[in-house]
Amino acid sequence: MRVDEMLWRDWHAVAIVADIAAGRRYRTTVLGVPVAYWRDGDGLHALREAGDTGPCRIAERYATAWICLSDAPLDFFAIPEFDEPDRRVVGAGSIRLHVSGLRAVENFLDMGHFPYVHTGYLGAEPHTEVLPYDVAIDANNEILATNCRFVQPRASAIAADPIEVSYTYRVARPFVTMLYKTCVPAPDRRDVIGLFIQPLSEEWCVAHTVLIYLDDVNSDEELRRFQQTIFGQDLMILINQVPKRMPLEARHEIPVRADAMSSAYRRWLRENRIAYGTWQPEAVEA
Amino acid sequence: MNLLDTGRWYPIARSEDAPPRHVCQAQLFGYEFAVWRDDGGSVNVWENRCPHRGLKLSLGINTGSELRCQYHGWTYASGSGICTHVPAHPGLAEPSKACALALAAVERDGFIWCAFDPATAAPEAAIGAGLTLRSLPIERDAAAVQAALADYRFDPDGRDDAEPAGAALRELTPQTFELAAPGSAVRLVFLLQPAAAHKTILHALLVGASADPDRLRRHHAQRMNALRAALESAVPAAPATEPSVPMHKLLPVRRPPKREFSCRVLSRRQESEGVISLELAAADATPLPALAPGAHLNLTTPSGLVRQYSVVNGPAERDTIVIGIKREPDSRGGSRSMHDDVREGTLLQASVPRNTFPLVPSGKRPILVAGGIGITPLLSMAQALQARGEAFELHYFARGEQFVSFRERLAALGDAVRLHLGLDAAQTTAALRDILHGRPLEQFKVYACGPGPMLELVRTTAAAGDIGADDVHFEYFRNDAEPAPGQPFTVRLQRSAREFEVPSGQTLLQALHEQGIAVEASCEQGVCGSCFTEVVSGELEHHDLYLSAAEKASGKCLMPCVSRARGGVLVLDL
Repeated sequence: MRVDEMLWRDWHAVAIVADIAAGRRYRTTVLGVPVAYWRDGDGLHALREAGDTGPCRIAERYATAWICLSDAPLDFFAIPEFDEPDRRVVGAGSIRLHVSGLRAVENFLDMGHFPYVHTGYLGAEPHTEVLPYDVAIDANNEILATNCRFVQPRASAIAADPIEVSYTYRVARPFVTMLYKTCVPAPDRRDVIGLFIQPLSEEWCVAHTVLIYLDDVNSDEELRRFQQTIFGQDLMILINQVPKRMPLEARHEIPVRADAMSSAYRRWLRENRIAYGTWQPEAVEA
Repeated sequence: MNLLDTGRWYPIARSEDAPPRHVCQAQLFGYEFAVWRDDGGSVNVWENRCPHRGLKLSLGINTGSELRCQYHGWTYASGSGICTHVPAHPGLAEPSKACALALAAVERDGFIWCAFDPATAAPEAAIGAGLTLRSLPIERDAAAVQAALADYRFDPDGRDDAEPAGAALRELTPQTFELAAPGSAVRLVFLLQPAAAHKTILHALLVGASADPDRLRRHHAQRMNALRAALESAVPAAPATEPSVPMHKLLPVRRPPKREFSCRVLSRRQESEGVISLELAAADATPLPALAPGAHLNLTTPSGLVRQYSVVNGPAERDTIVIGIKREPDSRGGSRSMHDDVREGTLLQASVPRNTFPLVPSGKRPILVAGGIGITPLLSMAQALQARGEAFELHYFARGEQFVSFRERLAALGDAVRLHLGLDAAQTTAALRDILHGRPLEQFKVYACGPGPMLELVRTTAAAGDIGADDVHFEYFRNDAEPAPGQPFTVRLQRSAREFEVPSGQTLLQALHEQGIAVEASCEQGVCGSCFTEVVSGELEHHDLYLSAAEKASGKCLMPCVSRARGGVLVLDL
């Protein structure tokens, strides 16, 4: 099938740079295309595999290695916090999932599941209500959800008591999303979690997570472990969603007001003509 | 027999695969199902997919009357599959389209059967009681398995050294086949479950055998294993794939089950000073919905107001619904109308019970605290806990003896009930402190229902005693019983040249549907975008979360499920 142009020209995360051992050759796929990448004294390199001589650029941004398969790559999205000198940047792992990458992004944008999936960490009954928040598309064609609030028993590795956290969600690209959340030691600034999804195919993906934090208490290992605990809980949900590809039409999966962000994401995918990783029963039946 | 017949009964699981409070996963024609039994014993066969975000429902929790999805805690009622609670929005009505897709299901002869078409006539002849043998998945289609059954040989007494003669395979139904052992009254009935295109589950029931069940099971296990090995040693089967046709397309078009039903007052009792109870039965042959402890009904009073009443039922009471109603002195007419205008035989309109005050499975011991008429949901919880043999306590605060309602039910709960009568505010505080302090509170969960000041007292007393806010649950009634009515306005449909009025209190979408105009709708909360409608002119009042600020300002479109006109004339491009 033809991969949507916006995705074809986009950069796709393939690894956290710190996880790439020098001199070793790694094989993976991006949008179904087999590629190899490696790191040596000159930096990062990548090639398509299986005799395919098409373009295969590689670049390092935000502690992550990104591959683009097009000769006309899109510009990178911005994360200004990444360049702040007092930030800690920690790669929190890369997890392979048998589900469309779009489902993984949508799950990341969702607060309603906190009390049920992340019980005792990001939520707990009876605090199940999702309060109204604002969703808008900005001038860069990014989706922003602001004024998101939720009571969390243990919002991060350094939060000991329940707090009402304030979130901003951002979708910069179909497979790139970020969360800005209340930073416990510096209430006027916000921690950033970047979730960079690598679409292996329409039904498989790898979720790469990068933390851009102001935490000066926890070790990298503790931050990583907390994030991986949370992601492990999400994984049990993601691999059990049916169908594995994401339906974009509301008649197949019914949202409520708490899903305004997900609803905006699905609409934005439709309007940007993204079909890769989506479920379209009419096409299958034809 | 490899093609799906929507009007036929298929075996989908053994009865023992669905023990109480369990959810099992089963397959038919490549479709996955969640199979579960409610506490009344009824079985449910549902598409294994939450209609909200597609999580497999087999991962959910069987609460005894509902199935709760693990992803967002949405609950679906046994029987209808109607959604009874969306925890993200305790104050909003559940979307009427949010409904688990339920197949027709019956249980007989130790097996659970289902049919895709709900109108399928009940299966006729029963096979008879017998010994259920081991069920075996075979990686072959049902026609191949059926063909192989003709060569099956067994000894009626399960003797492995016997050399049994062959018998003719007789078709009982397209899914069941019988082998009678020659010279014996023993019959072996095979049931074929076409799980997927290349996978069949072979079930078997042995009728009339008297030998040791273990020996019989072993005897047949060996023979059925051999049958499987012979079948599977042929050409390898094709890999499993997800079916491409959504399940609802296989079913006859049907509307989601109705959320409203009529009921008739069977009896009315004076429970205590100012409190009556009503026992309600379904007005027609439709079975009453399953009730979860803590659930409430929306009832339309004879004076036309919608009011919420918690159900008092214990888990075994499934034929009627019991509610308690206090006459509120400062009532706007709801409770007064229920007291003055309702008698035996009165017909009332009710909605499917919602459960916004669920008993949360936590392993912690529940402390139930009731004030006045707040006893009703807690009584239903107490009876459910007692039936399950779980420890709990019920503290009932009332102004005096003459204000204690439901005395027979309280008596049946025995020592678990403590009455606290005639206490003033200071004494109530002291009593709550006695209940909530000085205990290892991480082992307890508090459920409270009563007047506002008392709930506030429970909240502060619990907090002062180190009980976590997560372990104090309050009844939360939706607050939109009197919906923001909006202004009446006139709708003109430009293309079909029609005109009608939308009164205050009715949504534009409801009005369009009432006029027979097909507008697709899904969430009915202004979030999904399904009912997007183009506007020619009118002064719009937007309440949705779907349209952008620019789209709203353009005045060229609206979401009729929540948005309307501010009066005057609204011209739509319909």
